[in-house]
Amino acid sequence: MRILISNSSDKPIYDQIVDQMKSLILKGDLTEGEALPSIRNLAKELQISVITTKRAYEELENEGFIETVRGKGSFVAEENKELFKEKKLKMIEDKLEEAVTEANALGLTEEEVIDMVKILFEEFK
Amino acid sequence: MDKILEIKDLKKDYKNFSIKDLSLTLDRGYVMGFIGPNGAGKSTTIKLIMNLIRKSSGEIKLFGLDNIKNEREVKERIGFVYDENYYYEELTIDKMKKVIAPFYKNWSEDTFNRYLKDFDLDKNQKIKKLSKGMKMKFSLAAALSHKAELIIMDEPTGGLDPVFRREIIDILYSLIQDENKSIFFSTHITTDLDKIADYITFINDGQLVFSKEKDEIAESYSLVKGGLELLNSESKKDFIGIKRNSFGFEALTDKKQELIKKYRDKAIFEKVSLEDIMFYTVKGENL
Amino acid sequence: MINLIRKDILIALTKWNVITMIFLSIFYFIILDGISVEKRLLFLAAIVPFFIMQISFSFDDRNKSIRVIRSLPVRAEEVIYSKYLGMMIIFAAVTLVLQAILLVLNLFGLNIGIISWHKLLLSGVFIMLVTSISFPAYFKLSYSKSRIFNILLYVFIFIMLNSFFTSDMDMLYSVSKYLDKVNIYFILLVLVTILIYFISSIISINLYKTRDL
Repeated sequence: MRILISNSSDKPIYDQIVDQMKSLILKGDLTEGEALPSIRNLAKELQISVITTKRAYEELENEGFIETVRGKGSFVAEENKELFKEKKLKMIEDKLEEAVTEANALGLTEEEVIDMVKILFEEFK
Repeated sequence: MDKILEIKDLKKDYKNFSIKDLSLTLDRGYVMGFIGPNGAGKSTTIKLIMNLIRKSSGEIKLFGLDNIKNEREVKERIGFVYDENYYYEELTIDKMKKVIAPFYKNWSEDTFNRYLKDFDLDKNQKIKKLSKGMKMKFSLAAALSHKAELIIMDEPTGGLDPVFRREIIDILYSLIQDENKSIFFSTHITTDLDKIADYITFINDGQLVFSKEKDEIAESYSLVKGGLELLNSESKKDFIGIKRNSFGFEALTDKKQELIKKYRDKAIFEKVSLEDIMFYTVKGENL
Repeated sequence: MINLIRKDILIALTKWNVITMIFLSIFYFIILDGISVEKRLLFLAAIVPFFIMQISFSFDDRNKSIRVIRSLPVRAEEVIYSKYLGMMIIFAAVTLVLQAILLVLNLFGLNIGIISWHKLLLSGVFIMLVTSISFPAYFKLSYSKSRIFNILLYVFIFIMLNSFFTSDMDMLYSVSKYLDKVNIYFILLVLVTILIYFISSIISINLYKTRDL
């Protein structure tokens, strides 16, 4: 499991953890029912505060990605196909929005952007 | 009862200095960093907690018990690490241990020996022959060998090299894995706290500036950089401390979200370190 | 509290200190030539405990090692009781050692006898009285300040002792005559001294509590 924190990023650390964990779960790198490190263990490994990791886990739980069982720890939540698909779509939408914003700032046209997308899809074939 | 340390309205008066109305709380399982410039009252506060000096008024509770009425019980459960070495220099580590160990009901010889081994300390070495770092490690070994639930450290890493300080932080991380122990750690080397601390209490000139979750601090405090034209008598009120130079100003604010909305692109907002907070708070407008 | 007494002894009895003490003891013994052996030994029995306690006081103060001790689970009162008790325990130990040495020497043929227990008790009384005065000074002031006070005290006592030993001062001679046997005055003296010792410890506690370390 790979989690990398950037101290210089503007994004709060707990947010970075939430995002990265979400990705791992959505991509399938973390599977249903898999045990996650304890909040303290995670804090130690990442050299951050335990309150930060606690918050990250709380948020992940609120969004349905993980489940915490008292005395046992935290686990990746059972896959809810609809929910996950929805979330994946949202994630893709967010990333596209980012890309479009940047393109716009640079002055690219809609066509130029679509061309770029086409080229990228080529790599999957 | 999960307040391991509770201080209410603590006051201590000296001729030229006083601690005024200091209050703070630390829950079990967390790490609190206690910061402040030299002379702010950090050591004094710790001595008051340990009843090495008498308070003028106020309340100090440890594990829910009064720190003076239940002095002995309370100290059984505290592991204390000093900034300087006050041990009997002529004694060997082993002899010093023989002095300290009998005082504790829960002394664990095995734990102590394990720490000596981990820290690479020779028990027959005289204390005066140990380097500052080794002395600190010995202090820590002794503090951790009697099932202490609260570790209080008074500037434990001052004068130690960065490599060493990291090692100590790692040891502290391992310590708090079981959720049962808390650490209260005064220092003016704030980079150590940027990692492990859950809460930060900042004291300046005997008074509490704040006692908050470290994350909260990162979210509400920010360094603001902008052009001098942005500063006027109104806008100055938004800042805790301002530093001007010929190209603009740099200032500290605790109203980050508000100011981001206010200034938008006109100013740069940067992540603030504890050191920045200390600096700007202490220096204030006098820059 | 036993731990505290043990700590004081452990600290004071380093190799160097023991050697110095033995050396000084022999030195004093030789210097006090002209006074009976018994009196010389009494003098030693009176001085050595002070010497040992001074070492522990100086460590506590100069090195601030008292801070380590006070962060251990001990109450402030215990620190003081341990010093008062420790003084007498050391005195008892020293006298036992001296008696033992004499016994051994007697067994080897040197017919010097042992120190009379009665006179030893007087020595003890003496120590208790001096301690009752000098300890509160230590607990209230710092070691260096109390040192001045104590030096003056010791000089005064030395002069007194001198006259006591040479029995030329009439008053002291008659007083010593009263105390020369175990009688009601003697017992009274011992009891009163113990009371004074105890009161001194209470005073010390109160003075100590107002002190910041």
